[in-house]
Amino acid sequence: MKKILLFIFIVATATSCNKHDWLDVKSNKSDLVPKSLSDLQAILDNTEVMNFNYPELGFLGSDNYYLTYSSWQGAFTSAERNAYIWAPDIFEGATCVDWDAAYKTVAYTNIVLEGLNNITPSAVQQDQYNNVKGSALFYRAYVFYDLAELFAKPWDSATASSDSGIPLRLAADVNVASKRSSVQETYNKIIEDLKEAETLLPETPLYLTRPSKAAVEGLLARVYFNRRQYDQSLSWSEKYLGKRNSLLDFNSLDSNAYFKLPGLQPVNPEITFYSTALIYSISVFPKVDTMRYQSYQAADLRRAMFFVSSGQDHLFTGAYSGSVPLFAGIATNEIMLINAESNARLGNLPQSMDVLNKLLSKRYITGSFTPLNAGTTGEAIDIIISERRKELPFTGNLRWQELRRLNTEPARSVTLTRLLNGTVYKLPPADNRYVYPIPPDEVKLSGLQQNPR
Amino acid sequence: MKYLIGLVAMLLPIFSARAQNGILITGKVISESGNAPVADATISLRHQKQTTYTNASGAFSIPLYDSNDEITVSHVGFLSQTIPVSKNTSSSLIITLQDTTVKLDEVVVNTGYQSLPKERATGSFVQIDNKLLNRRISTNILDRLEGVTSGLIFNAGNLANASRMSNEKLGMSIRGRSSLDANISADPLIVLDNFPYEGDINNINPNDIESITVLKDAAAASIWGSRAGNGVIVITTKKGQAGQPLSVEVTSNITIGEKPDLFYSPYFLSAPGFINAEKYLFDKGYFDRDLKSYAMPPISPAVQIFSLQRAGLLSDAEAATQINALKTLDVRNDFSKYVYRKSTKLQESASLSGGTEKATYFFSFGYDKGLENLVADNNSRITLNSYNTFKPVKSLEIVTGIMYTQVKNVFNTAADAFGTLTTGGKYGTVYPYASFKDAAGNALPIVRDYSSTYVDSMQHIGYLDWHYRPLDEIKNADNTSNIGDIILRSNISYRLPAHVKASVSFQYEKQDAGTRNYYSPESYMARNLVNRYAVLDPVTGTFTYHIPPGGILTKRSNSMVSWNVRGQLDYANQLGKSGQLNAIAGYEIRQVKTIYDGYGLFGYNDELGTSVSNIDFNSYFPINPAGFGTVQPLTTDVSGSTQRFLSLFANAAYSFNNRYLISASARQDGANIFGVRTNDQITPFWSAGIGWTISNEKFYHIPWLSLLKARATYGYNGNVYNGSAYLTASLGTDYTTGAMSASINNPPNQDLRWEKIRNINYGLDFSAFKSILNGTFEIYSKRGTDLIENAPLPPSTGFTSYKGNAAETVTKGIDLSLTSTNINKKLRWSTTLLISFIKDKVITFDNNYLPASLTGYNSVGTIEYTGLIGIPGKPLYGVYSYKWGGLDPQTGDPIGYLIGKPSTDYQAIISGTPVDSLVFSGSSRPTVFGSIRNTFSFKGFSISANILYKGGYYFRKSSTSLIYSQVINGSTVNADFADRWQQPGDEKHTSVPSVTYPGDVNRNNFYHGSEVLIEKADHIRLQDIRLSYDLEQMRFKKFPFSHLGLYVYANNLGILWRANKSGIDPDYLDNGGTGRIYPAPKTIAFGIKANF
Repeated sequence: MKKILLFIFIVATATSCNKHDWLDVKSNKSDLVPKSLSDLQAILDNTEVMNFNYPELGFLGSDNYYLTYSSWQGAFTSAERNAYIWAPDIFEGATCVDWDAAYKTVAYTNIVLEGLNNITPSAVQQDQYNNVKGSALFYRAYVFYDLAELFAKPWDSATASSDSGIPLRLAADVNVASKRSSVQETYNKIIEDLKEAETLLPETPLYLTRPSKAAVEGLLARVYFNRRQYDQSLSWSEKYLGKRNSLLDFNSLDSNAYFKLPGLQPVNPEITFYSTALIYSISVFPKVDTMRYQSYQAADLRRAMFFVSSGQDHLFTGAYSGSVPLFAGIATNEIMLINAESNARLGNLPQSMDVLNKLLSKRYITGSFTPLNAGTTGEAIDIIISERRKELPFTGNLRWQELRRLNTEPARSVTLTRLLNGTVYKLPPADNRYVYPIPPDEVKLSGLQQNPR
Repeated sequence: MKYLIGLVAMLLPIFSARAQNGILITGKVISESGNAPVADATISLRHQKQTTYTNASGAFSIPLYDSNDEITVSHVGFLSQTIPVSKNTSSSLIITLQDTTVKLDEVVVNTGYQSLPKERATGSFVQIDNKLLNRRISTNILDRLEGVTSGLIFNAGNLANASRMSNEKLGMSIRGRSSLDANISADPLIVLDNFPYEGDINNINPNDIESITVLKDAAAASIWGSRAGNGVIVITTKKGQAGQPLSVEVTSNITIGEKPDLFYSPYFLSAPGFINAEKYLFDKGYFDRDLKSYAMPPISPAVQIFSLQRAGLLSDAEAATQINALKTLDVRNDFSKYVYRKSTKLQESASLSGGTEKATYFFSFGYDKGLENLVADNNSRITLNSYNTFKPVKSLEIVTGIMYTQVKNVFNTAADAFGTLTTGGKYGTVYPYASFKDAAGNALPIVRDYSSTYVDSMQHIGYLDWHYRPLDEIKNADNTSNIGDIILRSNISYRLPAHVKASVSFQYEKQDAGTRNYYSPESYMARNLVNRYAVLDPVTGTFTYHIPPGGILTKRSNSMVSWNVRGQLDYANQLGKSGQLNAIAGYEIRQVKTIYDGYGLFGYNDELGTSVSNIDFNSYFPINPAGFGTVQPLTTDVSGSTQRFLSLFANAAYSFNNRYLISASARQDGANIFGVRTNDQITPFWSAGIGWTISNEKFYHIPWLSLLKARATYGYNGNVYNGSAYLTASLGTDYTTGAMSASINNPPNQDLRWEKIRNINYGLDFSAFKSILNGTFEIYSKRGTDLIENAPLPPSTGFTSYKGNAAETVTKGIDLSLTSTNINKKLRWSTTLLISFIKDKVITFDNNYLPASLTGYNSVGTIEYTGLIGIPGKPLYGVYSYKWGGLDPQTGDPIGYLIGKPSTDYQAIISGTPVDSLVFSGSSRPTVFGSIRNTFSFKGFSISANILYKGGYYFRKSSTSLIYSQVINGSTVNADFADRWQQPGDEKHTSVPSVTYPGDVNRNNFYHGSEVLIEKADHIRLQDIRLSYDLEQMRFKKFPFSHLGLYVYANNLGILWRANKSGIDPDYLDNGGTGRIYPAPKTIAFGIKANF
């Protein structure tokens, strides 16, 4: 009898533990079911997804670098070869890493934004909550903007509402179908999100890989600048420069170091938001021709700090990343140039030249810099554009964006040419090929309308 | 769970003590057929409502209080008997029980939950007894199922690959495959005695195994619920028998294997052809960049000679002499001579067993030692096993068991084997004219990773020797793995009144597996890394080492702990006049926890155990010979998983009138990997079955067919997906900021659930011509629903794919097994024939495939390594190809078809051929297979041979690349290069197109995906022959052994017939087409088995 009772006792004990408690244990050690604010912050602190691998297709199609026939043949992917010669088909049926990586970033931000809906922050958590929300909005707007500059037509207020924009994915649910918005909707969303982020983000971020108020202002300045709304770009760049205006004195750099420019460690004081572009085989130390190399004056330290010469070749090793990948973030030098050109466009020549000279004085051997002067608005703009090419030769897709912007000005637009093994390739201004094709797997799976090439 | 407690509680009132005095009735129960004691028979007094059981020697005693009563004696497998008893009854009754049925064979099937006589089962079971298991000699127990189990096949392609597909680790399938997803294990569930076995199958010593039961259909397997979809293999260990005197068994055998035949593959491109291709490429300037590159890529000896000749540093005559010398070399000779050897495997075991009425015991010790075909690879295994039962008091039985295994493997040849030794750069595998040893017996270097001139020059200026000498690498290697596995098990069972037995079983298993790879300072790995990161100061001549000189150590450990608890009630009793009910019910809790970690050390000194820790992993350093980079840390990671299951199960079988059988089972599983909604639903796996022994009917009058039994079952089992249903992220430390960061693994799916396999099985068991012919015929259908598929997502969702339960498949087949005793005199000749037909097809699958992915390179079908391709209406493993139009007689171009017209627009053919216009040949897995085994015995001698066949399937041959530069690149070096089209007229005798430079990728892919490379894979092989001689004590007085067996066993004897004309063994296909593959070498084993 006692034994029976004992058996019943064993059975009862073994089964009394709650079924749900028993089965609620997560299966993978490192798995986390993101719930808390710090989980969501950890998702945004995944620098691999949120800061690195920004799109780089624009660089491939732009004109500051060149390839020899053999290095063109040696490029790892056909996308690189095709983008270099502006071929109508870029991907040849393959996936597009730029697109995939950017939308992965978007998915992360959407997961975080939806996660925030389930959290009611306490008073103590409010700052953290705001930071997470502002950061997610910023990251999403940043990649939306980069995608728009690659896969949608340049901003034209006359046609923006009918031009095809990018798919604006705003929900984490993978079952929601992707469809193309208009260029108008694309930019409206980018600007709306950035303006909201600015109210939420802190003045100083904990890490440079996290955004801040200044980073938002810098990005807004860039967005308006490339939309040719120079009054807006001036005002946002002023806001930015009110907070961040320290410059890196190139005289302080060690010309013997392999990477002469600082990135995160030691920190480059000009960097406000740190991100880097995807590494393509031909974006590693892009090569400039001798003319471009010679466009830097002897006293211009950028020639020595940006380039390593080996034989005839001049390789760019001066990325603000402080390392191999090209810089794709927000730094003060770019915002000063935006400010200078915006001022020039609006006719404020003294202010324009003043801010340009302030920047350049840190680029020349101490005492050797003669401040530049411009007699007319046009002259000022041309000076600034030429200095922009020297200051930002390989920063993300900036040169590509600039080409798209200048295509609208007949005097400043250019026809790009490539020469490979005796064949000349040309890209005339405002050509359809300034808009990249939507990757074929995306078209196949979500039926997006393809861009004409 | 509550009903279980209720069930127990209901039994309580039965207990009511009696205070009167009675007499004690004692007796013994024996079986009529064997005249042997029947243990565990139920003895019950009808009026007194009291029950007892017979002990191991069949004896029982029971008090009788009333003056008259009836004793009923019942036992599974026997007809019950009722006899009247009174106070005058003789005190030593002998009760003889009759066997219930005409015996099919004395087969007891074990499901891991219960043992049942096979004739009382409705499901599909295959029982492999001890004798059949021991027919084959192997260190792996499962290998012994090959060719003797109907419906079970070892899959081609897997045989050839030491590293089997991650989801088919065991390399076998039972009645095909239902899962489509690459992350779902397609292996059968392995059960060791009572519980799933989670350790490495090689840990089990085959000498400890008594029998194996393979459960194929729902009635057999659904008691294992969500893990039984791929079938279940129940391994039963040996145990001591009650009443058995001490018995000792000693076995010893040695297996010697031939050296592998490296010259087997018809694909190997030997030196003359290879050098011709190199010469052609050299003349085209293909190596010019390499020859002057700062990156100093490897330059093969032949190309080195060509370049010296071109530079005028070598005369044409001298160059020709040197090249001709290279052409005479064949690296296969050196591999065969220095890297391979005959294999030797030694297997020793000893066991003790026996038992009394109160206790039984089994104890065994095993030792295995293997010297593999690779010269420096060997392994050893020690196993200890004990299994004891005690019956301290009546009705209570306690079982304890311990199994311990220690395995050591040495893999010192792994990186230098035929097929793994590489050169790098523009080459893949090592060039075919490499030599490993010079005339003086010194190890020779091969060109590897860098050019030899560079390597020599660096050594001159003070860098470490940078040569790669394969034979020295083998000598210096120290790469071992150790596995320690312990299983503790116990079972307590108590016989309750009313024919109920309650038991609690427990099993704990812990497996610690670790690998340790020590690269000594002399190893290439260590020297190479040190040199790459060493910086020479040109002024002072001193070196800065960013990776310190010294050894490198990497360690990985993988530990698994599983435990199971099961509570179970068994009920077995006569019901009604001639009915018998066997039922079980219970619950089970199970947890499997794995932890993996690994680390590596630079500058490791093996003598002192010290290493260098202050290594800068963040800064960029120049790397020799060119470039820059950070020091890559050696793997350091920790990961782990926990799987939990909670299950309820019940099973009942009722037989009556000796003719009719009804069975049913149900099981509910919950797991921490299913979605929340799934765990909350009560959708059990269940099965039902019926059986009818027609030959026991009164109206049955077919004298020559003495047994005819029909069975039918229906039910469900499942497969578990090891992913998560939740949106999960992996936490880590961000490399850049040091902050905590999370990466998202998968989008959530609350509905994620197990895959469901519906099984229908019809079976017919028969015995004819006075048991000369016995057989089983089964027809089945398996329908997989809710199969997990990797549905692709548009990349704009941020994810590339999504796991959902959406696909469906159906598999139909026939399993026939026949055994005939052709001669049964002094000379006995018997034949066993197994035939299985199987046809599977995909019903629904959402993913769409491009023709290119269906006709891809892999020779085993396109899918083995990337997951299955589902094309609705077609088999799971389909072989597809482009229609072939021959070779263009003018250019040697392959001709294909585009919209029905001959075309050489390969790009258009590849992207524009609709999937339904591809040539579909059939399945790449056998659709008919089986074996014929003949056994002759005469006096103590016995000889048997097993012939296996596989048919109704196809494979894709490999061939040369049509792009010159790839001809020498390791992945496509192929002898077909020599048969290429070179001039008009060649198309009459070859189908290998011309090889071009630089070459057209689409043209090459078209050829490799074309119909011309598809062949039938059907073949017949003589698997093995066994010759044995058994001596029994009965025949020889004063013979010290009760039994002595001597045997010789020859395995892998080779192919007898094949459908393909290319001389290819379809079980050993060459996926890469490199010609660096060989069939399993023939082995011969000699063994002895003695019983005292």
